[in-house]
Amino acid sequence: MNRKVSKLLTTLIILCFPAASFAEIYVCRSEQQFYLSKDFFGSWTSASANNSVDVIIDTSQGLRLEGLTSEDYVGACRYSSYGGYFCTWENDHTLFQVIVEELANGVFFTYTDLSSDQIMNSSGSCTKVPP
Amino acid sequence: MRKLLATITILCFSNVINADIYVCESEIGGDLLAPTVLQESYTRKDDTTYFIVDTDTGVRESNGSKHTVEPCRISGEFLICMSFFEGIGMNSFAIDTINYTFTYVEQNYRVRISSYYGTCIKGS
Repeated sequence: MNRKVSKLLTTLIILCFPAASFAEIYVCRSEQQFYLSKDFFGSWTSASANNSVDVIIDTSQGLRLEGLTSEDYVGACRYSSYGGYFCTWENDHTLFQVIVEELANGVFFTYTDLSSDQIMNSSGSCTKVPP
Repeated sequence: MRKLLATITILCFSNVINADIYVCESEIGGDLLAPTVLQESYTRKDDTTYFIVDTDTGVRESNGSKHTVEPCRISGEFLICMSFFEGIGMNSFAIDTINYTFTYVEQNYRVRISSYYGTCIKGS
């Protein structure tokens, strides 16, 4: 019985430890946003804005968006062998998507949110938090 | 054996019955492109793109280009079709089943995003 428990624990450690060791944290900021959105008359138009949007991505916990009521991380991230992460979250009829990628000249991200009356696109750069 | 065949038949048949087809036409779109990740540019595009949504197989363009390759799912009033493409990016297509409008984002690596809004007609 003890051997079985020991094996089980070993398996759990092997399974969990790599996930923990590969978790990355990125602090990302975009300074410009582009919108497709429904106007007062119900027509769709394009527009841009220059608000700063901060997104913190903890690849083991999800993403944290500035301005959300919750301080918790939301959604989930998955690693891409291309060299980055996809993160998604769905809330209140809105889909949030983030791609973080590490390129030779820096770490960059794109962020979109998608609902039935607006699409917001944004991109910017990130700082990777040292482990 | 009989039961198995009957089950398979029922499953396949119900699948055929449940698959919905939508033909969607974009009214407005835009591209966010930053190929060098230095100088961003955003262009509005007013040319029409047609998408065919099969709730079983995903979204493709009228020219055959596949945009999502997985079955779509219902979330509230929305039909959501989403796919991840390793090394390319992720695409999310959402149809509001109340008023048959759609929004679509194709978000790719190397800071390339295409967005669309438009209307759909439901087929079978």
